[in-house]
Amino acid sequence: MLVLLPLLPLVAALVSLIPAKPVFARVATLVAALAALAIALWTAQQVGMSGNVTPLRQWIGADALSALLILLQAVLAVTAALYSWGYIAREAEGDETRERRYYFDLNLFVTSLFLVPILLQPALTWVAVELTTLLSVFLVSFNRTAEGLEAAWKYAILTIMGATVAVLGILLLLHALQGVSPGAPETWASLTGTAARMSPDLLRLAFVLVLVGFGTKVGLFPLHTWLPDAHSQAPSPVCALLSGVEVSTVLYVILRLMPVWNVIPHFPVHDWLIAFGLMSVGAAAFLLLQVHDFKRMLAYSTVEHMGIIVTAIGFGQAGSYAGLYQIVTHGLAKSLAFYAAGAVLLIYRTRNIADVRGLLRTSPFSGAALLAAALAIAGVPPFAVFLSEFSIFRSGLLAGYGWIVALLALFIAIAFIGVMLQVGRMVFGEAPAEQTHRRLPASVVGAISLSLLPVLVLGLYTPPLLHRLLTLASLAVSR
Amino acid sequence: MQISLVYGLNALSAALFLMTVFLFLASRQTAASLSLFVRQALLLSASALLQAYALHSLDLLLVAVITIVAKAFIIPWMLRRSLGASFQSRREVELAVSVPTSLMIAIGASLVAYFVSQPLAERMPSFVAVNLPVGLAGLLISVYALAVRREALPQFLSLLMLDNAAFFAGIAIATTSALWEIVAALEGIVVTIIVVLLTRTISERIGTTHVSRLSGLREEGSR
Repeated sequence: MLVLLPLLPLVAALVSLIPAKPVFARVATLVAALAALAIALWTAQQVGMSGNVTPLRQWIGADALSALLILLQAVLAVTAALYSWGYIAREAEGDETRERRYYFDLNLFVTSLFLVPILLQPALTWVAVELTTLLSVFLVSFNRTAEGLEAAWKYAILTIMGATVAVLGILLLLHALQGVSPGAPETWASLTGTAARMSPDLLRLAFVLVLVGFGTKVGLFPLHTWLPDAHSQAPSPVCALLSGVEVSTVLYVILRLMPVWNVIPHFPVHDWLIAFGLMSVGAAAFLLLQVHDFKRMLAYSTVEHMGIIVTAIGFGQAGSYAGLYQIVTHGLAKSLAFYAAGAVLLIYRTRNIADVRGLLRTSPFSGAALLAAALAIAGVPPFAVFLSEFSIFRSGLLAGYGWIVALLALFIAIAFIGVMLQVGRMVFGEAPAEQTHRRLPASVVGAISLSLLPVLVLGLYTPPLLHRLLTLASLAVSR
Repeated sequence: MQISLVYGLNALSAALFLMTVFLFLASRQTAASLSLFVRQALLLSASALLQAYALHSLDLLLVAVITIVAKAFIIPWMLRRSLGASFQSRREVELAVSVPTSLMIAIGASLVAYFVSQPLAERMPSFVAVNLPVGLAGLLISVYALAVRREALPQFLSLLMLDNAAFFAGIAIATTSALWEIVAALEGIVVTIIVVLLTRTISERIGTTHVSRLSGLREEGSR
């Protein structure tokens, strides 16, 4: 079953190439995403019961960490497919070839996302991470504006650069593996099983290369500069996937190697993570105060949240559970936020915050959705992000990182003020006199409503399966 | 061939490899930069061939052949065919930092790479002891070269040099995992196709491949 996961969107991509009405591409994308969600749920169930699923030994498999990510990817793939139905039809303005091309690119991108957590060999996972960039470059430049092309260029060059730096780290780890266990299969399991016997000097260099390399694609400060551009210029459903799940998919690789980093003697791995995490949260918090484009605002919020997650992982075992929970809650909340921002863009045709006023009057649905999404990403109760951020604070305090937690709370508070000030200006007040209400496509309304549900529910209730996956995954990360 | 001669030839190819990185940093013409990339790819293949001979590794032989085909022929051919005008231009590439300063920084980066890899190299086979510091130095210098170049094509060539540097160290480190090195070499072709398409679209839409003129996405610019 798990083998089918990346094949489903691949088939949908091929269907999208058929020169027929775009509705075929829309239906194929949605059906493939729904089937992928069914497989993701099945995988989660199996992993919850037996710990892992391995259909192709040494090649394809999933444990709790993979299952958690697959589930998030599949949920977002469904909502993005649904949202794209009406949104892209309007953006493509009747250009059927362009619309079909969008679905082709989108499905290939989703295929590459699914590949990352299910491949059992680090080297092949690296290839899959590289594919996530290559297959999404043309989605970022979909609108073919000067800004879109600039964003796509920065995205391609900087993230490929990061991946090339990271590859040397991965190679060093494989070399160390062959040194201590000649002929061992080059899998994640072999690496974690033999890490304690590897040369600490070699592991230290590999850690720095992997953190800096993949950290570039995660959007960690100071290599985050491409992220606000790419995550704001792409069409909104693509932004939802990029911010909601692509960055977490790359972070997965760093997390997957945590048991390897944890055994390096006399090396402050956790301090490195906390330092990078805090710098990212701090930089994003202050940038959120001066941003003028509401999609860039959401992108900076992604930098902030990645920083929060990396800091949480730096807190150790208790922080790992909370950090992983934050990956889920952030992914869901951020996709909702980008869907709401896309609705605003359809109505106002501008991304400039100063030009959007009285949204609640112009379009009560979009206004309410944007306000709810902003409250959710800012971590206000009863939304799910509040629960995960609260757990992070608690784990930090329990692990004895009082000052770090205080600083983290301060930065989160500044980010909260930044987001709420900007969104407040947009949703309240009088709408511009010339602004007319444009009816939103039904699929856009449907996707936003669907996305709001888990953001609310997970703030009040954690399903037992999710709790089980989080527990198992946090143990895998902090081993 | 004696094994000591193989080690000596590998050390020579490493020295020449590092020299191409320095020459690339000093080069101000796109055509010359591309020809340096080709020479560097040949040196990378030479190192892989020597190691394949010394270690009797069919995998490394395959890596050497694929590297020559992909990096010395296909990628330069695609770049020249698609973006020929940019290579024929005699105009000098704009750099953010002067060449002498850049060379001084590159020397510093080489020393850092040497001292970082020294503790590792002492305990590793001779090929790693040579290829790792040179690859690491190439990696650092190529990242710097990418940062100071202001046009799309020279930036992309820096990225290709970065790839070569990572693999120069990689072929000595991971001698048993040729499968993915082959995939990675082929992936270089995919990267080139995508970047060529993107560069052409930028050129058509904006009329320049001068990426420093693409500066609409700044906080002060988006007011």
